[in-house]
Amino acid sequence: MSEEIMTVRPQPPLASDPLAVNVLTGDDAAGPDSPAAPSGLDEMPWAELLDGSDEMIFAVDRGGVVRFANAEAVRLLGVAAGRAVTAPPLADVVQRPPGAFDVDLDERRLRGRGVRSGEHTLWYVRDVTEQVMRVDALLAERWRSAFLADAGRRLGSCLNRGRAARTTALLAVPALADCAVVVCDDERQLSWVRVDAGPEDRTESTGTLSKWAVPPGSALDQALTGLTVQDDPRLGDDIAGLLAEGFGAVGSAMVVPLPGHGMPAGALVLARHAGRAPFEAVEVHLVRQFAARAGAAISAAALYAAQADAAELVQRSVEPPALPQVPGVALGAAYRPAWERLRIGGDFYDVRPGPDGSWMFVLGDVCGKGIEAAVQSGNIRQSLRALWLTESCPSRLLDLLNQATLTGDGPTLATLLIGAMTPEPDGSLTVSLATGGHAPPLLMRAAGEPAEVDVSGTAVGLLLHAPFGQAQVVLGPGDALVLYTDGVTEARAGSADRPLFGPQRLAAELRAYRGAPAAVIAERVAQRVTDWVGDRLQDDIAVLVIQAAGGPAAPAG
Amino acid sequence: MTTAVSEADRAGYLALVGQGAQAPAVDFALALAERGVPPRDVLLDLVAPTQAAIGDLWARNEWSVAQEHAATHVSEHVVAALAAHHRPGAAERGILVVACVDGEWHALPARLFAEVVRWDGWDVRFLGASVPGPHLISYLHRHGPDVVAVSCSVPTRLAAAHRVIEAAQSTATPVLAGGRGFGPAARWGRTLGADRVAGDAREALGVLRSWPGLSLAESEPRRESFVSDDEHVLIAKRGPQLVASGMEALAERFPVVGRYTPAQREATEFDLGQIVEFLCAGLLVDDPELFGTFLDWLCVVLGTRRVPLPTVDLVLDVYQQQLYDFPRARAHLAAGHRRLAG
Repeated sequence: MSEEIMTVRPQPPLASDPLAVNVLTGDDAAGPDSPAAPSGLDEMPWAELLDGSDEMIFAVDRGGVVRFANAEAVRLLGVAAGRAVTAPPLADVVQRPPGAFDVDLDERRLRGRGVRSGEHTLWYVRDVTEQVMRVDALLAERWRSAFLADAGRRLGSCLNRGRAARTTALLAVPALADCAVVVCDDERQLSWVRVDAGPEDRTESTGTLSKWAVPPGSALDQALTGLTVQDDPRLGDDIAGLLAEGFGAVGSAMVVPLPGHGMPAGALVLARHAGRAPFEAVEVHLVRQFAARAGAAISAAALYAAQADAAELVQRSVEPPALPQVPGVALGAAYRPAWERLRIGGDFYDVRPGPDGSWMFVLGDVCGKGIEAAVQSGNIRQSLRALWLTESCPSRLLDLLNQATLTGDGPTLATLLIGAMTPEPDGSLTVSLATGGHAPPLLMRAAGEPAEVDVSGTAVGLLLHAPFGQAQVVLGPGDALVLYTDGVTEARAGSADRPLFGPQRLAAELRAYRGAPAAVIAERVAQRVTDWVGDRLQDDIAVLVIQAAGGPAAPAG
Repeated sequence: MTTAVSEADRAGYLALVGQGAQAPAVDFALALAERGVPPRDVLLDLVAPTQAAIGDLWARNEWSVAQEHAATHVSEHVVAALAAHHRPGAAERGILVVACVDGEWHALPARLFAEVVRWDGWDVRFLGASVPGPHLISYLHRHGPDVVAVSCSVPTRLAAAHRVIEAAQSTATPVLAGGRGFGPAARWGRTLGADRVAGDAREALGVLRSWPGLSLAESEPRRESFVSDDEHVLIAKRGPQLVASGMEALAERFPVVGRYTPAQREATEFDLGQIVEFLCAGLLVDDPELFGTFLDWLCVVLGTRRVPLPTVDLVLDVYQQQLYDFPRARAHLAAGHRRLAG
């Protein structure tokens, strides 16, 4: 731009205006660069020609005195030939070296350029007010769209209410106001988060407010019932209690509801310092659109929290229990559910004291997957905990459980192993166990090959007088009994042509871990199966290892 | 008696965990703390380096995998015992969630970190090994922590780490990435978009302490991938074919492979699959160093198990031929070749 300006040639002399001619035909005009005026040029009505221009054109001499001004310059700039330019902001412009400039004069945006020509500076000025306003409006509109898009993106993926409220306040400062307070209706009380624009960074504070502390009819009270409170000179005093102590005078403010499901989810309080432009109509509209997004995010988060609370309770009630310390016994367990969001499934295990000094254990698998299977497995565990208070015979327990299941509301089909273990004085462990249609456990002698315990029976929840087999084994020091669900042996890698994990691989793994602590064996089996599957478990895995801890277990070398 | 963990302490501790001697190892660690070693240092200067040493012992075939796991089990008890004996003070710094990325079952490094930051004043929620993405995200939504620390110990889980980092940031939770899986000084954590990274637990402590305005941190969700092609995804899909052609070439060149037992065959297939997985991880972060470091380690593992190293060369060759239309993969494989030669 400036280059272009500097290469503009000196204007031809203005013949009809003696003053102008005098001025503009200085030494330069006669210089070597100056083309000779073609004949007849002197007769041109230069002043009229320039007066007809839309542009404001005037010439100033070195003394700062206007030597020529066309009609537009006289009309809009108020300059006059023979007088110095004294009114700001033009006075500052003509004192500076010539070049491009933009100034605001009486609501107008003027854009001009100055060109040195000998003893004078020639100024050409245009009124660009409308053009600038159009561009400003476009930029402002674009900014508002971007702001709302950003708000939607940040709030849309947020399902935590506190964070959604905080994000709302953070988005509003400084874009919309110097202070933003998001007040959320917690049912019991009001919680608020406030963000203030600071000299360096924004500051944040939070707190709670009793619902009784909101004066009826106040701006906050109105917003919480769904009314928008527009900017008003008295609004500053109304909301003063919500603002930071040192906020100072409120220039303008708004209190808008955050729309929720039926009821407002809360209110957004915005305050600007005195001195900052008040909320314009278009900004009020923007604030309401913003509040709609924030309200949707905050109420969705509240709804999510209610659902998640319920799910978390279910999860906690059915997640695998911590194993107890059983004297003379080393226990280990691993549990990996296929349904991952809540980390629960239909496989289960439990170890609890029995009625007669023995310890009871169970490992089982409810047909089905996910939360339904998890809830049913929780029911079975709960039933067993009650039954274990009075009964310690495994096959009798299965019978009772079977009857309870068959007379219950929904059909539950489950396979399980129930056992009772009694530590003997010689350090061995007597285990009696019964199976309800479950794969028999593997017995790992401290020296020897893993072998299945010979026991069989029918699944629980099928027949009223189902037969349940029972077996007894004695674990010597270091011997281990490994109970597992079919998710272990029937695990298959992604594609159907891959083989099942199968009992051989399980046995090989147990062989390699002979003598390792029960917990290590259980974890290893689960890990090996997870590796085998490679990607996602299709079925839950549960492993329970019972080891007679007669002597310190020596790890395999 | 010094208040620092000595080389002799580490040797003594390694011997105990090597025997699977749980109670003596716990007593040993508690005695160090009694002697005046800060519990943090017991974890970071005794347990952590011992775990690294155990990994090396396994790689060099000096310890069996069962022994390695039994030792790790002992260390887990040691961490639990130290945590129980040395309760943290008030948690004033905020809520920190610690989670291993999906498919990362090495929980001990994350557990060490969790205890150490708990002693440093954080309200730590340790979610354990292999936290499925959806579970972590619903946890973040529910509890709105100030920061989530994701742990990754093996680079093959980096793709899962990437998904978790993005998902966590979409809940506006800033992410700290740490663990050996993120590479030297956790630099691949940065590549994958973590807000902060830490090479080890001690560095993580410093990062957390000096994270300015953590409470006002706004994570910027990333909207585009950082590598323009999808080589790592496409090659991972072709994994089984690559392994099959690798096995074929091995059987052709080394007749003994043809006579492998099913278990041996499976083990070899697993190794070949690992090569593909590490290649993909290297492509994901676009750093040939990842694959190179893996090859160094693989050579130690195979070398001490008397597997001839030309087998690795051969497999890299086969993969390179098969992946003729994947320029980045070929470059990584070629760099691997040079590394084996050099």
